[in-house]
Amino acid sequence: MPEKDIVITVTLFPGKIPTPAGQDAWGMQSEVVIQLDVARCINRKSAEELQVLPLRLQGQVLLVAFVDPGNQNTISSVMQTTGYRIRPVQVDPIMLQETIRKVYADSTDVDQLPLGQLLLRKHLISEYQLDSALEAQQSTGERLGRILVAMGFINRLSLAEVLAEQYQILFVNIRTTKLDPSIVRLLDADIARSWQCLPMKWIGNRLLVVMVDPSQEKVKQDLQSILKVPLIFAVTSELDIDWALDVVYRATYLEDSIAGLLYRNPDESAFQTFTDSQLLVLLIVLLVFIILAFVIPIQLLIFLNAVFGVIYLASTIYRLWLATRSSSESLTIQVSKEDINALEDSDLPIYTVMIPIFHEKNVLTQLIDSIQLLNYPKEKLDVKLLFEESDTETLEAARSLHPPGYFEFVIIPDAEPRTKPKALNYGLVNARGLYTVVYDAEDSPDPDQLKQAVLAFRRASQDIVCLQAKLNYYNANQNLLTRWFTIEYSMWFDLVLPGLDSTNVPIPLGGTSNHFYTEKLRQLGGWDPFNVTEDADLGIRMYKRNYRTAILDSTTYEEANSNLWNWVRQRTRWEKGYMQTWLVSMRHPIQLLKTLGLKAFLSFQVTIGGSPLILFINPIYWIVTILWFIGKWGIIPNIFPGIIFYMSLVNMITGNFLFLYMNLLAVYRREYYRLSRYALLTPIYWLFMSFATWRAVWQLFSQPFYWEKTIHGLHIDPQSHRIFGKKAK
Amino acid sequence: MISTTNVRQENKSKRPIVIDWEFWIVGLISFIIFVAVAYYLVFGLNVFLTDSMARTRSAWQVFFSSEPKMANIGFVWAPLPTILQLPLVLIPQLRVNGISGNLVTAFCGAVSVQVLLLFLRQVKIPRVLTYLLLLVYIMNPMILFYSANGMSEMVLELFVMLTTYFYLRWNQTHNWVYLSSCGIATSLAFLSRYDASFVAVAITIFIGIDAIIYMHKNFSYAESIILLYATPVAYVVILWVLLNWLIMGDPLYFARSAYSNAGQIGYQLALIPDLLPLKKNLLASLAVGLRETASIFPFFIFVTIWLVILSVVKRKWVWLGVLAISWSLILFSTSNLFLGQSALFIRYFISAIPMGMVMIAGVLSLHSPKWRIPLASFFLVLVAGSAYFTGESMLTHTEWGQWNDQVVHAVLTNTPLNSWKEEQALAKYINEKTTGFVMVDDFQGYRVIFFSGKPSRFLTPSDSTFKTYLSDPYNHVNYILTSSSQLEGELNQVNNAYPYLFTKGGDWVKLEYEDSTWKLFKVIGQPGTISLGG
Repeated sequence: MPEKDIVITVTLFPGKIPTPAGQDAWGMQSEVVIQLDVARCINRKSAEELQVLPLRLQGQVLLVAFVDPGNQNTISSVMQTTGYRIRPVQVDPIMLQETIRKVYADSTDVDQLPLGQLLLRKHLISEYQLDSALEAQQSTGERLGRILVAMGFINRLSLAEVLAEQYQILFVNIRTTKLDPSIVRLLDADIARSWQCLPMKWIGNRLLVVMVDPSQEKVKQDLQSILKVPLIFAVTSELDIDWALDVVYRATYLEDSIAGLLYRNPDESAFQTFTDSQLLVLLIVLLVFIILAFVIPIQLLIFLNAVFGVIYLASTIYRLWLATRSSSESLTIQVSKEDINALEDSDLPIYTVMIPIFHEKNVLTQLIDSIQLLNYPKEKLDVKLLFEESDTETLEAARSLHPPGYFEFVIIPDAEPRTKPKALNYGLVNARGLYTVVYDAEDSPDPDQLKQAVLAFRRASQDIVCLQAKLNYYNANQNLLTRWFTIEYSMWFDLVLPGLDSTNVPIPLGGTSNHFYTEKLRQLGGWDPFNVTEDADLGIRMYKRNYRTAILDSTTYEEANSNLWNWVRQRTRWEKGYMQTWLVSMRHPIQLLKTLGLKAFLSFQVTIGGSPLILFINPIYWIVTILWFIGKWGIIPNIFPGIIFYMSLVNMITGNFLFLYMNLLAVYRREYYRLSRYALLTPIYWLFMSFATWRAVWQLFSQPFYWEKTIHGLHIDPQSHRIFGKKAK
Repeated sequence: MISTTNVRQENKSKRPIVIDWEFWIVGLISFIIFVAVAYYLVFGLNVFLTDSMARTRSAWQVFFSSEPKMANIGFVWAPLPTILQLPLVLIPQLRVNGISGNLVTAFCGAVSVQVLLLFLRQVKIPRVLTYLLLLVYIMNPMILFYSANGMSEMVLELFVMLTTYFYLRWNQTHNWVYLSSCGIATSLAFLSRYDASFVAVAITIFIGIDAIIYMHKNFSYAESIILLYATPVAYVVILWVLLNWLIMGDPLYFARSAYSNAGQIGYQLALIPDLLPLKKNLLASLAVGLRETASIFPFFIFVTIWLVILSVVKRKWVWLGVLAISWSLILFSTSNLFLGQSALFIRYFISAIPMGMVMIAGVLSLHSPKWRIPLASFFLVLVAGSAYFTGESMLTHTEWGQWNDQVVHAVLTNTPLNSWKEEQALAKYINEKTTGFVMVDDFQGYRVIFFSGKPSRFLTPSDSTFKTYLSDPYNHVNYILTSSSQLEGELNQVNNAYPYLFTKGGDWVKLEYEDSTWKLFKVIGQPGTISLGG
């Protein structure tokens, strides 16, 4: 079979060769057809080392392409090797590299070989690996290259190189090539991300465009029509496209991650904790209270008692209602194990998994294992590990673990606020999945969870754009605190949230295992980086847009905080975040009422506003009760007149019991039978919750955006197996 | 919620209780019947039972006494029957004649019929047989009377029947909702009468045994379900003990104060010699307990044996639990006889009737469908016939203050009772002829307060100032009302403070009104040497 003509674009210099090359040069671009036998007069190794390629003989003069035609040493070497006089021409290094590859390629037509065979021939994969990948391809329909990378049989760059060889086009390693942002920006970033291609550089009057899949002729045509210049295509890996976009758009991404929501809808951002009008109202209320405290102190206390009594009562009744709903409501959408087994892998979409990691090198191994255990085609996973730029220790530790090819490391530029939602926003920009899920680094999700979510999304009504999986803990029995924490989570995720779900009211999302329609999430503006419970806030914002969240009956197991101070810090953040969320949403209460409707509005008040409020005022009532029983302080009966006393009595008797009993129910339903006895001790846990809430109130004014980082991996460290300082038995 | 696992199992365990039109119609008709009986008792026969009056008066005291407070419900009797009356006594028309208490029992009686309907539905017998069984239950004289007389028995029986029903459902479905409901029903039963404490113990033992032996679960599971059941019960017990301690200064005030059954029985033992041989005599107490049970529902023991045999043969252990619940109430009353802590009142054994009906449902369900119709017909005759024995037993029990015999007699002769005429006249006198505060120990004086309808005019031991004013009546109250020291009169704090006041009067008081039981003194000066009793 005759060899094809190989054409190369070079710059001819009619006069003196400029030195150094390219500077002040005036040259003429021209395409030259290479004489292969002439080109092969020097061996490949020399050509690659010297960055040269003989092109053709013009009489006794050898036309030779140099990357640096001004380098006399190189010219001399070529002259000595070939014995001809040299006429140097200049060539782009990438073009030269690719042409060398073509010139010295195996005489067999590599483009006639399937990718798998090509990889085999180059000994990049084994036959067993190819068979495994082909088998996976049968079920998923995914590209073989992606599968091989996802299975960890080949790295992305090697694959891209072989693809380039297969398609007889250039291969470009973007990371070793200087990027010209002005050229990259010729193509809209969203299109570049979506089509997985990128303009790289001008070669003559032609634009070099790198792409992941050179077989996509339609994309090539579309690019041609958008860019309206002659194009040269090259191959690169998909993660490198993301990397390049990240390099070029870093500032934009960062700004959007931090201030996107603030710019687009400042009323929904917690950047400003209190608006001017809220501060004014707060000051007026405080002033009135101070005056009344001097003028009619007893009446003021009676009034406050009445208000708090109503809040307690509403909260108690509502919790009871939610628990009843969650126990009696029939399940709206059912996904059985058989349904999951019946799913065709080829029918599954790309799923983005985002995992923010910060100073958590302890859990990296566990994290990689958990993701690998997910029952989802790996080639359809877009796993993004979000590292803070400043956290080099964790980043290096992660690199040293060499996770499989479908793990992408995203480096979040160092900027305030250093919060999880900012990292998530940054990661969201390049999310490729139809769906996106957020996990924490220490999470261990149900292996079927992604498939369950896919099925649930398909079966759910159109307004459901988010699924919240249930959360629970794998280290429940580590110590007393983890037992209490597990009991609390069981109640929240197994009783309260399903109750909210079936009542069709806003659901404050849990911190992890939230599954979203990626595009809807982008439309919502992602997370608020200034809100320290960005998850709860997002749940409310979704509801305001008439989007709904449903509870997915699939559990992600996390690490329960086993250290009391660490727990207090975490809980402080949560309570502060709830307060932030309440303040943000209540900037325009009438509008909120109109948007949510009365039922959802009241639920929001009890769930988001009432929760920290009750924890805040609990200690006051505990002290009042103790004072009354110990000292029979005379003023106390005066501030509990008639109906207020009875309401308080009902609150005390039924409220305490109900909250305690719901804990018992929750652990029974979760089948954590061994925790039942500890559920009876949860009133002690409430003390800690209240302490954290008081801290949260203080921080709300002093450090509203301060993200008290929870230390994870304590369950791995034996020294941490302590109950408030004493080693657990 | 979107579920992915165990859907079928979940749905199976959630087989709902069918609450349909039939359920509501049965309840409504029963309620109408019991209200009609109540109306006849109060307005036709002038029947005011002492305990019923006392509870209604306690409910008034919460809102209308000189010192309104929740604690006026009292700390001797279990509080629920009084609490249930609270919303009703706010309506003046229902306060009059204590009909609020009658309405509460009518309501509980009606719901007990509905619960029995739920039991019988599980048997799957023809509807007409179900209705007839319900009818003979309703028409039993004791069920009719105690569903209409404002006492606490029907409240207790209702919650014990509910406890039993939920216990059964829990065993059938193992749905936690039923176990929780069972625990809540038992706790409400305890708040109705302390008799339910034995029920709680019985169920706790049986669900533990069921979990470990028959469900082959581990100890943690058994512990979990026991806590799920027993926590509501333990909570109300602890709460009640705590309130007794906080308010009365004695955590077991309800059990060992002078006003408690145990406290009162000390006085009664002397007057009711039949009780003396039972104290500390287990066999005699058991014999009397069985005799009383058999006297109001002769076939209770027979049905028990039948059900035991069927449960064992068919290995349906759950019915042994139901039997334990049924007998625990009777054993509670029997044990009180043995401990010398209670009188021998027929109403203490009333559970034989509703729980006997539940056991009949059990016997029917354990037979094959072809036997159920003849057996149900047989039981129908049995229960209908037992009404005669119940009535007969009521007539032969003539204990003071229980009124069973008098009411049956009054019904049979359609003759109104001549009850509480003295108290009604005294109350009328106080309302019309006096002004100011009347100091009285409402342990007995509740009848006068009840008929006066003006509890705020009376100063009673539940008022925080009572003891102070008792030592200095001249500066604080206008009248002192005392009663003869016969029987309970010795528990009267006024009598204890002024032991000779009733018999001899004094120079610091002036006798205003007198009948065979009561003397109303106007306070005209400081008393002399005062002995303040307990």
